[in-house]
Amino acid sequence: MYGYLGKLLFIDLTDQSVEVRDLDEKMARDYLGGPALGARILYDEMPANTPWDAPESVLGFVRGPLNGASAFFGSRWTVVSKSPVYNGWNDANGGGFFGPTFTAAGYDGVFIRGISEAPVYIFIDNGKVEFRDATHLWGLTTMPTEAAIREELGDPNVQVALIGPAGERLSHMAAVMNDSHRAAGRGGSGAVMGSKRLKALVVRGSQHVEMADRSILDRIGRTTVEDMKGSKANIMANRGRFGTAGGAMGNVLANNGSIKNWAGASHTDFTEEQAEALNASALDEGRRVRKYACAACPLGCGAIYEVKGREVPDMEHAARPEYEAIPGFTSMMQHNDVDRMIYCNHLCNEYGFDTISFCGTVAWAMECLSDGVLKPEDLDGIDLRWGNAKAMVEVSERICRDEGNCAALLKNGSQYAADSIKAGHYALFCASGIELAQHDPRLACGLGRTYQYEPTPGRHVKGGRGLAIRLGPDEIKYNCRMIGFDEVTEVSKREIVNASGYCMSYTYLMGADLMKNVIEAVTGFHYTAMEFRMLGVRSFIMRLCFGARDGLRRSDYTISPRCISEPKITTGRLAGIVLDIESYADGFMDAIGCTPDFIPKKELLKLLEMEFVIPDLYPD
Amino acid sequence: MEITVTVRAMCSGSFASGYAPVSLPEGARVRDLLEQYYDSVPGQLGMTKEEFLQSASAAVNQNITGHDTPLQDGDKVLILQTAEGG
Repeated sequence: MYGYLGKLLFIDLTDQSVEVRDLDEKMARDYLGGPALGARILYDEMPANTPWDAPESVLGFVRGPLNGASAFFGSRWTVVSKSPVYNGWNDANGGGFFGPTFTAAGYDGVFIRGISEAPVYIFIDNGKVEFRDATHLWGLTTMPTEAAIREELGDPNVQVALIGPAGERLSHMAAVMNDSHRAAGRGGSGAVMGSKRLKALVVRGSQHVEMADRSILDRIGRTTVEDMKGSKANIMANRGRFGTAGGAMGNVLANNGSIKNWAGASHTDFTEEQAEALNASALDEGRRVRKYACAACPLGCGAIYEVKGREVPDMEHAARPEYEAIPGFTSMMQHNDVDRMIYCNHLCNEYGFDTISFCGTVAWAMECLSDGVLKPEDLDGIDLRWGNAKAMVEVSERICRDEGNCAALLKNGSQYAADSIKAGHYALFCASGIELAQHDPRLACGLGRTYQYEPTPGRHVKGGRGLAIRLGPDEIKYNCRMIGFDEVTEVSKREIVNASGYCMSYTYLMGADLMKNVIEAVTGFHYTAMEFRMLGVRSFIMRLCFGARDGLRRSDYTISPRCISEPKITTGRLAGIVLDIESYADGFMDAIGCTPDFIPKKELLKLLEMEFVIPDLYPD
Repeated sequence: MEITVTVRAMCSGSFASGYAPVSLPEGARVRDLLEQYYDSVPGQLGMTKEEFLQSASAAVNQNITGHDTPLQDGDKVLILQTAEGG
């Protein structure tokens, strides 16, 4: 089978048993890989309503067919599980070098159930599975853990997906990390890994996937390289030089990134002069020591920082923060202290926290303390008021180190904290209890839909029209009529990006229409245009069915009132905006083939050859 | 009329350094300025004009405004284009 190893690995940590099964070719063609294939398999492997931390709960690592296939931008790997945050489907993907090495280790997916008696890590060495004691690693942060494993195995080139202390403590904000600073961050899969006492999945190997038509990939690759030197040189000079950080200043000034926990207005609550500090070139100045690129990436949008002699602890190998963390740890808290922002981002990477949820949670606490909802003793006496960057660091350190009331209150995120004290819900900015990314849903109805009505809520990286048009004319971005077909088109495209192992950044250097050619060249599968569209729809519906079988319905996909401008914002670009996500979602659900209660119709399930779901969703 | 413009976008081209003067006809709106900017950096934004207009915004005299906002002589405009990811 082209593009695949053809093998899936199933592991039970309770008795350390191992089973290898063949990957069915039709399943590969229909679900491709990543979150789609992961959802299809977990649907069978996990009984309905399995608690996320039960022995029967399954954690999966899944490649896409582009991983290790020498396709530019094709290195994203996916972790799948049930989410501890919203008790529904979860998938998150990461970059770096883990994906191609995972491929070389010999499996298209590794699915782990059971709970180990003691901390353990799994080493997959060219197909062979070994369980190794991780007691001595338990409690270590991510970079020392990676280093210790590489030293222990005597190989600096093994790749490691692991949890930090956040995952060990079952924090709902825990990420699965790799390559020191790459994070499959969202939805709390790190907690699922921690619940199994699994510190790391380590991979090494020399296996390759065969490609159906290498010449097509070579041709596309040559064109891409030529474009990088010619017509796309400017893209390289910007996106390639500054990465996602390049958008930070503009995003904040456009009121897309958060200001004052999403209650502030650009220029009023965060000035242009303040925003200058978030300019990527200003961030790089005196800190950037080298470029960083994931495997098979010609763009190389990352950077490594060295920060020394400033008002934060020295950092020798810190990642330049991605866009999300930049406003998250600055303008959202109404300050522009970028050294402390970089340090908090580094803390999250070291302790294995999702930066998006983490900064959203600290900002929520900042607003609650400033408003008197929280008392100083709730935060161990730390004066976490608007603009106090030093206090932001102190609270962040306490959450990371599991210290005091800060950690007790905040370690599972803002919604969990508000529910536990039965207060502060007005300051939440969550969908189904997970903090939203740094793209304001009030800028476009479609973005609100993507956040709220999506099997993995709160993600800006899931599909929809909203993200692309959020700064456009009001008559387009707030229009809720006749949007269904286009919305499904965008959802389908993004589903395929994620299932194949593509990085979203591929569109910067390669035309979006090349994606089908690349996937077909790797896999040898051929899809009509309609089949390709339905490939993406199937991915969305399969992920949706995982939660739908557990009883999740439209009313369970909640969003905080502030996200839809309740109460109304009175100043700035968002003044008076009311977001009609429901009307937009009506159009989307109808167009994709769901009932108004957000479950797939029988006819759609038959069309997608997903009849196996029907008895679960329609028992009568 | 003459306005001054700076750009925070994937490519700033000839609008690059600080606030630069730009001439526009009387009655021009933000949309006209965005289109003029797009045309000034041909092929360099990696997107169609329509895509650019849907991903770009402007602050006029430090107020984020819609595309239909009329411009006036002496206005200072900041063109903003967001980026995804991270």
